[in-house]
Amino acid sequence: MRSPFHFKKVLYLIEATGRSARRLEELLRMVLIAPDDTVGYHMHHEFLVSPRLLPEYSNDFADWAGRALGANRLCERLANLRVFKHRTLDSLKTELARLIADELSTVPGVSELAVSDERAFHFVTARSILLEAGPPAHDVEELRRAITQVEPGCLYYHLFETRFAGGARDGDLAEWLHGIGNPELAQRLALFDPYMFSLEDARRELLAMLPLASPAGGARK
Amino acid sequence: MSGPPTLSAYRAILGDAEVDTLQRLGDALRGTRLVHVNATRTGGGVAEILARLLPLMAEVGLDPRWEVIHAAGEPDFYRVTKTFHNAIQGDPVELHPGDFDLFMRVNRKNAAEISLDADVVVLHDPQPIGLVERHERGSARRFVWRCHIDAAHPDPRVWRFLERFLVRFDAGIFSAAQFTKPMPIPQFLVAPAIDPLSDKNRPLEPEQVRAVCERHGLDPNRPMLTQVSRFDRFKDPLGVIRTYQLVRETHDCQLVLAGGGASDDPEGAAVLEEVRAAADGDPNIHVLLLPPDANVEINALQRAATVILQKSLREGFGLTVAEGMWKGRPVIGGLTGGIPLQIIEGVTGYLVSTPEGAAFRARYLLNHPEVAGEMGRRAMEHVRQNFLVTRNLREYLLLLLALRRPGDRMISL
Repeated sequence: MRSPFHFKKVLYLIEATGRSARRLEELLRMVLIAPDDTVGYHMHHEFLVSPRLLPEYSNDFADWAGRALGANRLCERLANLRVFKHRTLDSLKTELARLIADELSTVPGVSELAVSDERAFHFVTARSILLEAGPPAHDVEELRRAITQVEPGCLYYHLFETRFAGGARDGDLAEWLHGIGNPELAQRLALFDPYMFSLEDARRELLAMLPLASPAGGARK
Repeated sequence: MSGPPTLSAYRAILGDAEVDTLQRLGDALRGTRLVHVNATRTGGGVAEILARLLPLMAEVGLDPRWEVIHAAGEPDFYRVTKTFHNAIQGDPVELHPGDFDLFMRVNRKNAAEISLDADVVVLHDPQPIGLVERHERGSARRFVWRCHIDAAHPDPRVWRFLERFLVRFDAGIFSAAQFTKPMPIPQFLVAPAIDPLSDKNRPLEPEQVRAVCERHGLDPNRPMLTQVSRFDRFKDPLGVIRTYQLVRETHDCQLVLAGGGASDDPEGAAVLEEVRAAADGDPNIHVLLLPPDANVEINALQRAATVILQKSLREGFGLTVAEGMWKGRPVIGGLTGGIPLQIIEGVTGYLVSTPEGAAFRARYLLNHPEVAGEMGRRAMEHVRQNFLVTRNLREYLLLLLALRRPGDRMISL
């Protein structure tokens, strides 16, 4: 019998890296040398900060390029980064760097844009502390019930973090559903784009998704 | 009030899950001996934080203590530490011959007298930093420097002196990334926090708010723009008056400028005079000089406000922003220091650089009370998630776990 699904939540302890950028060239240089987990953190931590709010831009790089630097074209391209198309954070980092480099080489004057110290982009990193949270789920019904109850931090961990840190490319929720014989539902979850929803809205989306794909008596034990 | 609140008192505000998380983290650290050392037991933000935090740390299972350094017979010590404080923040300072020697003398005397028998020693700000000399190589005891001020652009003379201590710590804690500078130790980021159960922030009855308004001649039926700050040029009180004057062209509103600290601060007294002169007898401008313990009064004034301003030109973290947001009010803050870390632009408040910008946002909010109300609700929720003392406690617990396992990027409990 397949082992139950265990919900976890992640708590971050944030650490400064001492690296910051005021111009795009600096941002590019820093992205290239930043550890992978630093890039991952800046890609989606904002969702955890305000679980009921969808950030205007889904990652810190887009937000900084648009709001602080005024590089609107780059902002849009960074905001539209399809993070989970990349198998690794290193690949994502390469794409991030490519977009910034492309902007620098094709948009006249963008390299001259600069912000004050107060609006600089500060690269940080995070140590993750994982806690088991919520009851284990043995079938889709229990999974659904748990999703109604778990904290936003749990949803965050399973929707974002396990796509890279846990090594489950489609997310561990989708992998578990696949493992218990629900490939259709697993596929729907794998395609779910958490960057388009606040965590609380993502909860509603997941709940709406689950009963549709679980026919009575199907995978439910 | 009968002593600080217990953890269970926060359940109604945070929910069970958050408090249970604190208990679980505490269980993993049960019995960890922690000693905090700072310069004073009363007065000032650090003492206020520790007075709230230590009972909560004990309640989750730690064994915390609080020690205070003393400078008996060395009255000049606090002049020197005030100079260091200003120098770390990048202010121009005058150093006297013998200042460093005096600092070392007092620190070494305290190092010999204060018990640092603990698993983790947290030294707050520069005053007790020399106690890190007690950190022996190879010892299991960990030393942490908690810097509550902006250290990004310090005076190099003072920083060079402090560096000999900084390199001996196992970690530093800073309030924001932009307040740090490169150092050879891990620098953790822990934002300051407010206590939702303190007199400054606890819920008040409408009658209490009304009584405070009456006492100060405020009309609760007309819009109120309010800034609570010391009378300090960096808080831009004259810019706030200009903002009010611009808003007043279209709205019959009042301005409340409430603050303290002028009596023992010559510059504050001068700024207060400038503010009174700029108010020019306008009966709708209320300049309130409050005593340092007027916490309930400040609470009521923030709750009575329609829009809260914190139009600083330069700021540390600026926790009055979180205080205002906690009252469910939209806050218009200056684009400086820690204020942008607290306000989500256009969602929980607005960030501005000029009186015109502040007036434009204030006029919009006065014309759209439903937007102001929604913004205030979001602001309160944002503070609940990110700027309450329980989050501060949680991050201390995470730090203690990280110090136990310094090489681990991920820790499963």
